[in-house]
Amino acid sequence: MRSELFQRRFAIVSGKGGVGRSTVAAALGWVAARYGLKTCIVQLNARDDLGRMVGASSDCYHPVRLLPDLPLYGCTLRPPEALREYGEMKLRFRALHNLVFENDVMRRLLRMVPGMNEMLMLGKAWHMEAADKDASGRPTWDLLVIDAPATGHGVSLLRLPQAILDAVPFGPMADDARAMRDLLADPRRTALHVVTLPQELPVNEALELCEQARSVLSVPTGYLFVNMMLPRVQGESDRRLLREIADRAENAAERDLVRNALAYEHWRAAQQVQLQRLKRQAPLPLVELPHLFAPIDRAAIERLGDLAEAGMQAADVHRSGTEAIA
Amino acid sequence: MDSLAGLIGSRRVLVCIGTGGVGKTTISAALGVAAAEQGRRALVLTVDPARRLANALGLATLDEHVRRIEPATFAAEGCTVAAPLDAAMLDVKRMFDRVVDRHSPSAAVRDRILAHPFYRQASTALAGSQEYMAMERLFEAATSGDHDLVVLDTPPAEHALDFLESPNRLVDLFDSPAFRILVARASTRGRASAFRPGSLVMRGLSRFTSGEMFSSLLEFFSDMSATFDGFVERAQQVSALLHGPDTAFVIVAACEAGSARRALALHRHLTGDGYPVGALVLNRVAPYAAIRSDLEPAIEDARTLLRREAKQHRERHKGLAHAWATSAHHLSQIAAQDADVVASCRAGFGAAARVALVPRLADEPDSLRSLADVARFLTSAGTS
Ligand SMILES: Nc1ncnc2c1ncn2[C@@H]1O[C@H](COP(=O)(O)OP(=O)(O)OP(=O)(O)O)[C@@H](O)[C@H]1O
Ligand SMILES: Nc1ncnc2c1ncn2[C@@H]1O[C@H](COP(=O)(O)OP(=O)(O)OP(=O)(O)O)[C@@H](O)[C@H]1O
Ligand SMILES: [Mg+2]
Ligand SMILES: [Mg+2]
Repeated sequence: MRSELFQRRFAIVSGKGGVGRSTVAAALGWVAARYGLKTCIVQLNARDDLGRMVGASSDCYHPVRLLPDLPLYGCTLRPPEALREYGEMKLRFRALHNLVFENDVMRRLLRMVPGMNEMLMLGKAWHMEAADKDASGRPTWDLLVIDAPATGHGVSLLRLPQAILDAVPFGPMADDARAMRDLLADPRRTALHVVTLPQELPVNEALELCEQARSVLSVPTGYLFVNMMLPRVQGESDRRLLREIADRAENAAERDLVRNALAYEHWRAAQQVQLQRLKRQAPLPLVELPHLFAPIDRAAIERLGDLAEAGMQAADVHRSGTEAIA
Repeated sequence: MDSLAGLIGSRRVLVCIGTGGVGKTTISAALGVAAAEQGRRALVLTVDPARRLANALGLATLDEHVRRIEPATFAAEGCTVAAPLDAAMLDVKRMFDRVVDRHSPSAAVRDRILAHPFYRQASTALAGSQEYMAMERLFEAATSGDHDLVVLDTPPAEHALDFLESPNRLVDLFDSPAFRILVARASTRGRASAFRPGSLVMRGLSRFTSGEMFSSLLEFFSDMSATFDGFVERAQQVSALLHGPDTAFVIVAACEAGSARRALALHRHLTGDGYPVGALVLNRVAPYAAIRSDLEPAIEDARTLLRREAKQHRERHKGLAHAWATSAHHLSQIAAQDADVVASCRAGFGAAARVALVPRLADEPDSLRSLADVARFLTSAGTS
């Protein structure tokens, strides 16, 4: 059975900077597309890391198909284009739009309005979920994977609809903000997935993000991906023995070997400490992803995607098991 | 060209800049420690509420109050410094309040601004205000005379240049004559014709937001207008400081192809905009041996070693040799990738900026001692 990832169409991926959000977003998108789901990975005003990984540019506002064999699409939302689209949608006439938005004062003013850019991009993503329909009226997208900004900015982004409602409770903008807030809070449509590394600071941030999702944001959560776990090597490693004979290496090759093998064990042990912390404290089901030792290309994304799906399925089984007991 | 140690010894401001998670906060703290070792009174100004970093500095908490780490605290960890080190965290809301207070001509104006609902949104967690306030706080600290050096740890911005541009955005608006006229006539009767009720622009705007919202926004800016000149002037001062000879930017990058590429782009942007880039720090460089051979020879090496040194474990030799060789080989692959990144950075930066290498420490830096280790790598002569 497919994992529960695919039951909610709006999948947001966040976590501390550099932990692998874009990589995980690509892997999840790939799994979905492999199931035949029409999937779009949405990058928010970011570099086109997705394009680099799959080898096809997705640095464009309108979704482009990334792979010939699978329904995987990608796009990069940028505020100026989002503003133009939004403006024209609301004003219907380009001339009126130009009068309002291409006005010198307005342009400067809009750049200053806090959260304006974020609101425009979130609005576009919301629109893709709620309004993009095919000819028969079915939603265009089976799954949207949002490659969200790192934790701090990510939280501001998810809080934005409420912040706007607090400042401007009435009018068309408030109506849109309310609809976005409802999307973000809807456990049937939305899930926030968190990515972390098995390191102390990223784990701290991941746990804080989980907590904020619950207490401040009221965004429903999905899985917590623990990325770059050093794989357990086959055979047994016996750190004690390794340390014992380390000093007796006779040549550079032996010394390098022992040094690296020891460093690996040390690193792995440190990762396990953080993994245990997550197991004890994380309120989300954990999915471990391995550290790969080659550049992240399409093959690597496929591999991580398969492993992610297997991990999510296992977590689902585990959860339904514990729920049955409870 | 100055070494990183030279920059620490001669500049008044060091700005650590780079994309998310590369080690900006860690490197900022280590630069502060290096300054203390040189006997400079430094302040590390962080935007990162990471409690562990406060703990690494030997502090229980970090907030907007400046905390001092005395030389005795360093000594207790076996480190010798010639000056105390100060640290503080940016509090965006408080800083914003202070800025408004400073620029307001009277208490009444200040209170009106602070009480306005737009102000509450603008001043709290919304993206953008953090960047702007970081600059304000930096300027305050750099000009107070309390410190020889201020090290600024910048927020992780997708576009690391955003925060440098935030004051310009403000100046751009507040300095615009059209905007000033508009705000000066915020009352509907005097409002410039394009923004009069019933005008096309206003009718268009009402499709986005209520007319009251726009009027209320203008009213807010009209309250704030008395502070415009203050904001503009300050933004110009900040810009002058950041472009001047007292400042150096330290670009931090993780040792990965993508991160290095972004660091190069950042360097181009910064120098293009006239900001002085002092150094690139490549962080978390794999300190492992590059075996650069296939797995099989490595397994053979392990077996030779085991046959010679661990005779009593004969039946386990096969498993052990395989495990050791595999793990050693994994790290060797990382080391080889990193060596390529280092080489391409050296080539890419050329003579334009120094490249300092900080290895991936076996344990995450979490004490004054380990920050001093990082500091040593930052300032050692071994970096090119
Ligand atoms: N499982 C993995 N194994 C090996 N390398 C990985 C893995 N996951 C990610 N990486 C590498 O780590 C780096 C960071 O990953 P990625 O760009 O996905 O992170 P991010 O959180 O999106 O970063 P940013 O905050 O810069 O957007 C990249 O160089 C990527 O190739
Ligand atoms: N040289 C190093 N060796 C080992 N671990 C390191 C090193 N430098 C940083 N780290 C670890 O890497 C992680 C990221 O570091 P840090 O928080 O300083 O980055 P940052 O750029 O400030 O991140 P953010 O963009 O989220 O603010 C932390 O877990 C930190 O402990
Ligand atoms: Mg990314
Ligand atoms: Mg930081």
